Amino acid sequence: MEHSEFYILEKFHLPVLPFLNEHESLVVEYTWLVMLIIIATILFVIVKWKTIPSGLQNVIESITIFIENYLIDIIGSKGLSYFPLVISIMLFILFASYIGLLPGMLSPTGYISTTAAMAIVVFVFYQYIGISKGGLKYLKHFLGPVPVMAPFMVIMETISEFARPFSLTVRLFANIFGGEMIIKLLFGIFAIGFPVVWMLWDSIITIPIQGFIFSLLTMVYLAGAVASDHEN
Amino acid sequence: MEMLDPKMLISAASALGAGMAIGLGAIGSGIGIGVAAGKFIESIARQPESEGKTRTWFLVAYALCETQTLFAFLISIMLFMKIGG
Repeated sequence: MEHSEFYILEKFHLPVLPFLNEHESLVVEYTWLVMLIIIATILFVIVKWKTIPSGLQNVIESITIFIENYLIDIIGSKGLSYFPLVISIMLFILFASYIGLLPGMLSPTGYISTTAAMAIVVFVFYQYIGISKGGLKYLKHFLGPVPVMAPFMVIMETISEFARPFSLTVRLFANIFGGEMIIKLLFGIFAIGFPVVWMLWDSIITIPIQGFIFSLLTMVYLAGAVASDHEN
Repeated sequence: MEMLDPKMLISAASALGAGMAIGLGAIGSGIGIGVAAGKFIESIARQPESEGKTRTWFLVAYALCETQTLFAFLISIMLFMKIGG
C-alpha cells in the first residue's frame, strides 16, 4: 500500500521527516494540511465577517457557541478562559476526521500517536491548572475522603488518573480507525454505493460525537481540577 | 497423527482469539449503553424539559461504556496482525 501512491500528498514526493518512517511522516504532513485548512477557514470567516451570518460563518459560529455554552454550564463563569484549548481540540478532531472520508486523503486522528499527543496535552494542562490554582488542596483529593483509607486510595486514584489520557487516546483512535477499517472491508464486498452507507454513519454520528466527547471530557477534567479552587 | 506446525497453531489460536475478544468484549458495553439509553428515554418521558442537560451526561456515559469495547477492538487488531505471520 505504501508504494502504490494511494494518497494525494505522496504524489508531491515530500521529504521524509527525521526520526520517522515514510508512512509516519505522511501522517504528520496530513496533520499540517489539516492545520492549514483550519487556519484558512477561520481567516476566511473573519475576513468575510457579517452581522447576519450565513453559510460557513453559520457553521463555525454554531460550533463555537455550542462549546461556549457547555463551558459555562460545566466549569462556571471562569470556564471561558479555557475556551481556546477546547475549541481547537473540537475543530481539529472534526477537520482531521472528515478529511479522511475524501478519496486520497487520510485521517491523522486514525493514528494512535496523534490522539496520544492530544490526550497528553490535555492531561498535562489540567494537572498544571489543578496544582497552580488549588495547590495542596488539589493534591489532597488524591488521598480520598477517609484518612484511614489514604494509603490504599493513593494507589487507586493515581491509577485512575493515569487511565484518563489512555482512555481518551484509545477512544478517539479506535473509533476513527475502526470506521476506516469497516469502509475498507465494505469496499471489498461491493465497491459501488455500499460503503457510502457506512461513510454516512461515520460522518453524521461517529465523528461529531467523538469530537464532542473528547472536548466534553476535557471540560469535565478541567472542572475537576478547578473545583478544588471553588470550595473555599 | 502428524505433528502440528507450531506456527499454524499460533495463527489458529490468534484468529480464534481475535474473534472472541471483540465478540465477548462487545457484550458488556452493549448492556451498558442499553441501560444508559433506556434510563435516558425514561427520564425524558418523565421530565421533557430536562432533555438538554440529561443528554450531555448520557453522551458521557455512552462514551465511557463504549471504551471497553474499543480496548477489546485494539486487542483483537493486535491478534489479527499475528495471523499468518
